[in-house]
Amino acid sequence: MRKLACFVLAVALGGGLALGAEKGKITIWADDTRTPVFQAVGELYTLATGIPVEVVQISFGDIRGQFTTAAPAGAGPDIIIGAHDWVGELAASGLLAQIRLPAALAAQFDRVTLEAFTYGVLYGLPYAREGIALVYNKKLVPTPPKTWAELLAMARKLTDPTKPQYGFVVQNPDPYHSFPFLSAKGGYIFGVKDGKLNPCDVGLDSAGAIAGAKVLDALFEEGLLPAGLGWDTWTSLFAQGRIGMVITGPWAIGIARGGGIDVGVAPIPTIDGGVPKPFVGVQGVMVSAYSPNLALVEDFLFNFFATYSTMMALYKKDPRIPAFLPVYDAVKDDPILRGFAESIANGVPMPNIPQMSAVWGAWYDAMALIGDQTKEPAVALKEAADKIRATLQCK
Amino acid sequence: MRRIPAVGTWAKGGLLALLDALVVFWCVLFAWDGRWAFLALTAGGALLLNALLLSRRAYPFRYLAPGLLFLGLMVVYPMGYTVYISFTNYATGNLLPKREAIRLLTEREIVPDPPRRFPFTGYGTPGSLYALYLRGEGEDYVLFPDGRLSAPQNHRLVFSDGVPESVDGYPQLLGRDLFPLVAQLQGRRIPYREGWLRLATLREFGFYLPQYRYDPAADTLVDQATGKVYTPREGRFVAPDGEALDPGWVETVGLANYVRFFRDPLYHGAFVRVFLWNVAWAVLSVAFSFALGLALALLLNDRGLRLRKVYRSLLIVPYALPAFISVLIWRAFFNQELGLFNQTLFSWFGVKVPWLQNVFWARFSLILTNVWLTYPYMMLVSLGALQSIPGELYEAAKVDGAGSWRRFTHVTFPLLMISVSPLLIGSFAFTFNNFTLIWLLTRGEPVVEIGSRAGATDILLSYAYKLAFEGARGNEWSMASALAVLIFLIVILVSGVSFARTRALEEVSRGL
Repeated sequence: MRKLACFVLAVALGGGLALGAEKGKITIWADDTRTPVFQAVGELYTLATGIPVEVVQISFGDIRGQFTTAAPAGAGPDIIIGAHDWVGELAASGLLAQIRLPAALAAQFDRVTLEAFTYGVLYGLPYAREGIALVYNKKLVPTPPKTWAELLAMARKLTDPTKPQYGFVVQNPDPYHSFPFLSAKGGYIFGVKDGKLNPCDVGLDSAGAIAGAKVLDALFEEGLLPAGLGWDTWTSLFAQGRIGMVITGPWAIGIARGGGIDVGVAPIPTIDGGVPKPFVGVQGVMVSAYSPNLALVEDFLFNFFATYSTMMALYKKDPRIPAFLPVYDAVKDDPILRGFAESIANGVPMPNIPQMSAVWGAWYDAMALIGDQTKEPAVALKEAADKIRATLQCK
Repeated sequence: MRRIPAVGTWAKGGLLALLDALVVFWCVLFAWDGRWAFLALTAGGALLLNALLLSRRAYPFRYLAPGLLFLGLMVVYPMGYTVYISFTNYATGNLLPKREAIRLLTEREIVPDPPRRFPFTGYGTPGSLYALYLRGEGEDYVLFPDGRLSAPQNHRLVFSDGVPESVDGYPQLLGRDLFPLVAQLQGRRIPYREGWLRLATLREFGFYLPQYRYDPAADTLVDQATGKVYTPREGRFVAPDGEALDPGWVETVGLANYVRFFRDPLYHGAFVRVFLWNVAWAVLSVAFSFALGLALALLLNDRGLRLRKVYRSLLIVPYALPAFISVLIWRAFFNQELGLFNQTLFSWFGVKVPWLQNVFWARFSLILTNVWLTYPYMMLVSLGALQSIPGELYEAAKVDGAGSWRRFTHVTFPLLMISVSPLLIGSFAFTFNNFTLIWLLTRGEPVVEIGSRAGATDILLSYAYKLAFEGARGNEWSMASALAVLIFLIVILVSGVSFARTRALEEVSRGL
C-alpha cells in the first residue's frame, strides 16, 4: 500500500523520483557504466534465491545528493555505488549501515581500499582504486626518472616556453595534485589518533609539507612550470606532444592516446629520498541505513558481489585498478595499470572525514599564492592551516 | 432565460468529474498510508479548483490562479523554506528529525563475544511460511513469522540427520521457495536475553546486543558497554568528556546563524570586499552594456543607414547564443598559453596578458564578457524606446537651435530613461546575482587571500555558495540560507532605492 501511495504521489507530482527500497527486493542505484554489471549479477541472484533485484541508473554525480534526500524519506535504495570520500559525510548524517565483513573475505581486498571506506567502522565494499602517477611521453622521455634530481635535469633540457614545450608539469593550483609533494617528506593533512583521522591535528603546515611545497615552488621560480596551468591548457599541450612528463591519473591516458602520443606510467620520483604518497581514491558500494533488507544485502554483497566474476566484469566495463586482489593479480600485466598501481601502492586514502570540506578551499588558496610567487610556501601553508584550525574550532 | 449548455461545457464538466474522482481515489490512498499533509493538500487543491471553475464570482481568478499557483510554488515556497532553514542547524550530520536519530542510535548493535548464530531451516507450504527451526547448539527454537519463540518440545517434529523434516506436519521449504518468505522477516527483532535475535543472512539468525539505550524521561542516551551517559546539546548527543555521537538532528536555533555571521570573521571578514566588487561589477556591466547598446540603437535608428536589417540581425547573435556555451568559449579565448587573445597579442606585440590570473584583468575579462552577452538586450530595449519619442520634439529642438549633441542630451536621453530605467534596475539586480557567469568564467578566482574563500571576482552569491559547501563539517545549508536571506535583503534595499529614484523621473515625464 505504501508503495502504491508513493507511486501515486510520484505520478501526481510529475516527479522523476526513483522508487525506493522495499522489503524482499534489493534496489541498487548505479551509474551508467556499472548498471549492466549489477543487472547481470542481479539476475543470477534472482535465479539462485528467488529475490528480485532492481538496478536504477543514476548519473554518478547525482547519486550522493539524491541519496541524501531520498534515504531518510524512505525512498532511497538499499545499495548505492559511490566514492570513499562520501563516507564521512553520509555516515555522520546517519545514512549508512555498517558492513561486517568476514575476515576471510576482507583478506581478498587491498588493505588501503578497505581503510578508505572505514569511518570508525567499515561502511563500504570497494571494487576499484585510482590515483596519480608520473605519466611520460615516451618520445621525449625514453626512461622515466627515479629521483627528483633526474627529473629536474630532464625537465631543464626539454623545457622551452617559446615553442611552447614543457619537460615536466603538474596542475596547479590543485591540492589533490600537490599532495605527493607535500607528503614526500612526511607532510600530512590530518594526523591519526587511535586508528582514526584526527581533525584536530592539521598537518598542512608541518615541516614535511612545507619542505615538499618548496620543491614545487622551485619549479615555478625557475620558470620550468608556468603559473596557473589549468586542465584545458596542459591536456591540449600533452595531446600535442609538447609535454615530457606530467603527474596525473588514468583519465589522462585517453587524452594522450587521442593525440597519438605513446605514454608510459611510473611511480612519482622520490624527493631527496622521500617517497611521494599520492591520494588514493576508492570506488565501491555502500549500504543505506534505511534499507529494510540488511540481511539480503549482506548476502548479496558477500556471495555475489565480492566474487571473482563480478569484480572481473566491473573491471572489464571500466578498467580501473581492481581493489579485489584475485582480479588485480589476473590483470596486473597491463603496463599502464601496473604503473598506476605501483604509484598508489605508496599512497594514502584521501581523507573521508567530513571535516575535509574545510581543508580544500584554504589549501587551494595557499597553492595558488605559492604558484604565482605571491607568498613563500612556509607562510602560505601556515596561514592556510591556521584558517582551517579556526574553522574546525578545535580547542 | 434558460441556456442549453454547449458541448464544450459538457466536456469541461466531464473532465472535472474525472479529476475529482481521481482525487477521491488518491485521498483514500493517502488516508490509508497516514499521509495527512498530502491528503489535505490534494483535497484542498481540488476543492479550490472546483470552486474556481464552477463559481461565477470566481471567474476572474480562473486566469490569475495558474500564475498565483506557480508564484507560490516557485517563488514564495522556496523563499519561505530558505528563511526557515536559516533558523535551523540543518547541515551535514544534522539532517534527521530527533526521533529518527534516536531510532538509528538505539538500533546500533554490538556482536557479543563469542558471537552466537542460529542456522535455520524453514517449514510451510510454497508461498506461506509456517515456522523456522533455529539450531543453537543445544538451544533450539521454533520461530513463527509473527516473532513468537517456542521450545521444540511443544511441537511435532520429525527428524532426519539432526534437522527436522517437518514441523507440526508442515514440510521443509528449500532455496527459492524459502528465501523470499524469509526475506519478509528482515527488520524484525525478536527479544532474546538482554538483546535480540534477527535475521543475519538468508541462512542464519544472529544474536545482537544494543549499543545504546534511550531514557525518554531524562532524554539521555546510555552506552550499554561503558555506561557513558550522553545528553543532548546543540543537536547531538554529547558525553561529559565532549564525545559527540553521529547522527545529530535538526532543531531550530533562532538567530544563531545570523549572529555567527556577524561574530565570526570567517564569514564577514571578506564580506565588505566582496560586496564592493559586487556593486562595481553590476554597475559597470550595466553601464557599459547600456552605453554600447544605446550607441548601436542610435546608429540603427538612423534611416539613412544602409543594410540596417542585416546589422540588426548580426548584432543580436550574442543574445541568441546560450550563455553556457559562449561563456566557455570566452574562457578558452582568455587562456593564458593557448587562448586566441594571447596568441594574437604574442605574435603581434610579444606580450601575454594574464587574463584570468591577475585581479584587474580577471575583473576586466568578466565585464568584457558580460557586456558582450548583454548589449543586444540593451540595444533592443533602446530601439523600442527611441521609436516612442515623438518626432515633433526634435523639430522643436531644431527650431530652438539645438545641435545633435544637445538634442541627444536634452531630448533623447531623458525621455529614453523614463521607459528604460526600470529595465536597467532589473538588469542590475540580475547582474548583481549572476552566479552562472562568474562560476563558468572565473569561479571567483584569482585567489587574493588564503582561507577567506572569497576570490577577487567572487560575488556575494558565489561567496555564499563556497561558504555553504566548505563548512567545518561538510555542507552547511543553514548558514548558506542565512547568507542568502542577507543577500536578498541587500538586493531589495538597492532595488527599492533605485525604484524610488525612477519615480522622480516619471514625474518629469508627467510635466511634459
